[in-house]
Amino acid sequence: MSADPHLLTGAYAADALSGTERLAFERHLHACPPCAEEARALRGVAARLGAAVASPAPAALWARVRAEVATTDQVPPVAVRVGRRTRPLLAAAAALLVVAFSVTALGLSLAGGPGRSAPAADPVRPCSPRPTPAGSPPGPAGPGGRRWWSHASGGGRCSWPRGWRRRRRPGPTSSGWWTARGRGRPGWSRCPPAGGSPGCWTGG
Amino acid sequence: MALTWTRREGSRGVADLPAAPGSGDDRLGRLLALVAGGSEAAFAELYQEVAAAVFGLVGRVVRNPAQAEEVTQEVFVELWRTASRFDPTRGTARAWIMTCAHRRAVDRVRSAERAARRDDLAGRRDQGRPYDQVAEQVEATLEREQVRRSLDALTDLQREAVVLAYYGGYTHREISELLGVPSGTVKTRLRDGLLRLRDHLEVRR
Repeated sequence: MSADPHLLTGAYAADALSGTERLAFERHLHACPPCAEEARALRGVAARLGAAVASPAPAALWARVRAEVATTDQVPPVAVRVGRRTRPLLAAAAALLVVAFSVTALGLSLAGGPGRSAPAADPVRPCSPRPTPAGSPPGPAGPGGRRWWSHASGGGRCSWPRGWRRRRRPGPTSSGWWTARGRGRPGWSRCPPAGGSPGCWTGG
Repeated sequence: MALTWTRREGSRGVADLPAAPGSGDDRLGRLLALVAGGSEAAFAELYQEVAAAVFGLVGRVVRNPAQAEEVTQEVFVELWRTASRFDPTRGTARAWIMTCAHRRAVDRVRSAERAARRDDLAGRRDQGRPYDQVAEQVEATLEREQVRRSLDALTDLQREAVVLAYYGGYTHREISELLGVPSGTVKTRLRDGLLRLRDHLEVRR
């Protein structure tokens, strides 16, 4: 790593850093607003270098992309509402919160669980929500236009980010759903094993 | 290099999107927001909008038509998956998309072919300045012309560093070996070069 990380904005924007250097520099960006601003500008320049070599994609590619997307879950937004200037710091703080929560939950699970092997046998992963299908009954309207998601990946336990709130509704297949933009707290979901039910949360 | 670029047709037919006035970046940002909400129609529109830019850049870096298609597909699936993570306060939608494309392409070329590519590069450098290849396979566009002129405005070392890093996918260490200059010099030339490009491109906008 360079003695002066401020000078790495160009190498960062051009992706000329190794993986570990990139991660280290991204940490630096959180602490250095001028560097973040310069990196943002230089990434814009790099994008124009990229656009200068545009070339029509093969016709068959779209069909393959569309087919893969149809079976790919989307990640939820990171619902951290912060001001523009303090966003990087707070986002880092939010990430820490998630980590802290995971650790706390793990600790609780260890304290109350049958043994130390339980977490390893039941790994926690990020939940994979997907938007509710078109035509589903709408969820309750919320302030600010809430977006509803269902959780489509089965198996194991997953963690939900801060800002996601679980709601319940009646119905044989719909046991709950989550919303972004609420003031929810991090939570856990337990999904049925993969291959059984298509998802633990549906509808919405 | 003989990439066979074929023209993509069809794949439109998105009728349920709101009208999208304003600049291309505004429009892309709005499309990304719709994609984040799961709109496959918006995703089709987004693809239409940036497929050529993504495919062109990826093809330029990986230099293999079959791999270019694979990586381009990975990029769009990643855009679909992570659209909700796009943050307009940290750059334009186009920059975000191109960054994603570039990283994927760079990761691909760095994985297995490093040694082979070094040999290849030694050959290519003998054939002339690498940035000449920017113009090799695409139809003339204003953007390309502007970028080419802006690259001309750089010093030789700045230009070589920028072209090797961005179009070649090389790390600053590799570039330092290839050009026989210290790694720190490569880093500063990359920064100086991109800053100068920015000024030049902004003036000419």
